[in-house]
Amino acid sequence: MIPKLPEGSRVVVEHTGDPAGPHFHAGMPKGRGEDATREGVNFGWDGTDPVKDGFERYQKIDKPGGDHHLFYRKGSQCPG
Amino acid sequence: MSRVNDQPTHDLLSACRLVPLGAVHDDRLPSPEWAWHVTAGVRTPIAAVPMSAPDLGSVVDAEWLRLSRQHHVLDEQDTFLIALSRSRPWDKVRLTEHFRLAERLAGDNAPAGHAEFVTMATDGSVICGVTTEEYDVWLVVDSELLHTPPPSRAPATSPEPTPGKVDVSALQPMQIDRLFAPDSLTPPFRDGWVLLGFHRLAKRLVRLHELPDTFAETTASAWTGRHMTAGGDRLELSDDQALLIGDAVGVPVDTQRLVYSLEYQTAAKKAERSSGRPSG
Repeated sequence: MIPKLPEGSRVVVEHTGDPAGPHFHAGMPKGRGEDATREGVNFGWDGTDPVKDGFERYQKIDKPGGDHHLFYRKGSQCPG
Repeated sequence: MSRVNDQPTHDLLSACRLVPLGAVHDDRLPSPEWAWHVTAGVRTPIAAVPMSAPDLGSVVDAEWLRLSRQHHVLDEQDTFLIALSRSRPWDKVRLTEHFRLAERLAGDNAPAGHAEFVTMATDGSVICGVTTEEYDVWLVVDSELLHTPPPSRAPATSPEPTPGKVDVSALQPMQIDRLFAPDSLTPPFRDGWVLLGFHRLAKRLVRLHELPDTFAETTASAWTGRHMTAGGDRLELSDDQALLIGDAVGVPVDTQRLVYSLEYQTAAKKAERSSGRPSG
């Protein structure tokens, strides 16, 4: 089950071509308050047109003191 | 135009060193929701400020002011409309010399300067929106898409689609979802058979159809060629079976993208599943 979060829609993205290196981070609806806690936001799960299909870009989720990025080394394998 | 702002809005606008002039409710203007979507969902920027800029808020504010003057978002009295959120009305405000927009209007839990707001000329002709991306704060100006009716407000060109009479092969799965299938069922829940459609690649439940009360164990058994019972396991259908059931009960079936299953669900199970989005 993917629970309905009281915080609203969330997305985890993988950026494979970022100049800073490949990484994951989390995203949420843009805005403040009621905008940021919206449910059922289409971050581009499907469709090709942001107008017709109604999807939108996300806002990065930050933690105090910085952003939540998980960088990884491309091509490396987890030991064991 | 209302002369009264609610207090939190008034306080926030004042903290931005704007003069609040009241909420504006005018159906002739593009809605704040659409202006936000154009800014934060669709358009690419006319200018971008790197997040690494020292005193980011001031730099963003300076860019916003430059573009807003250039594109006549500000009128001769330095008044304009601002949308603090998608669901609230426009607020008319007047700029003061020491305004601080980007610093005060950051997104939830975002640092000062990571701004999210939309401003519009008082006649609704043009917007200048500010939104924050991975490495930059974007400034978006638009006067065209803003005046295109959003899909939900566009006049209907055809009657409401009828399940079973729509060419689902021409639609994206998300469009099919919107037309026919809710993410979750709505109460009151009742015991009965459901047709579940899972995305072939994502393995995610994207369509959920309650079948009519006339769809009984014997019906399920007849369609599937298996002995189906109310308490039994979920059965994955062949594409042909799914298409036949879809035709019979009048729901669209898209076997190119979806794999279908048949399951009996109690009202309690439906209620439990509808409190979240089942993933499979």
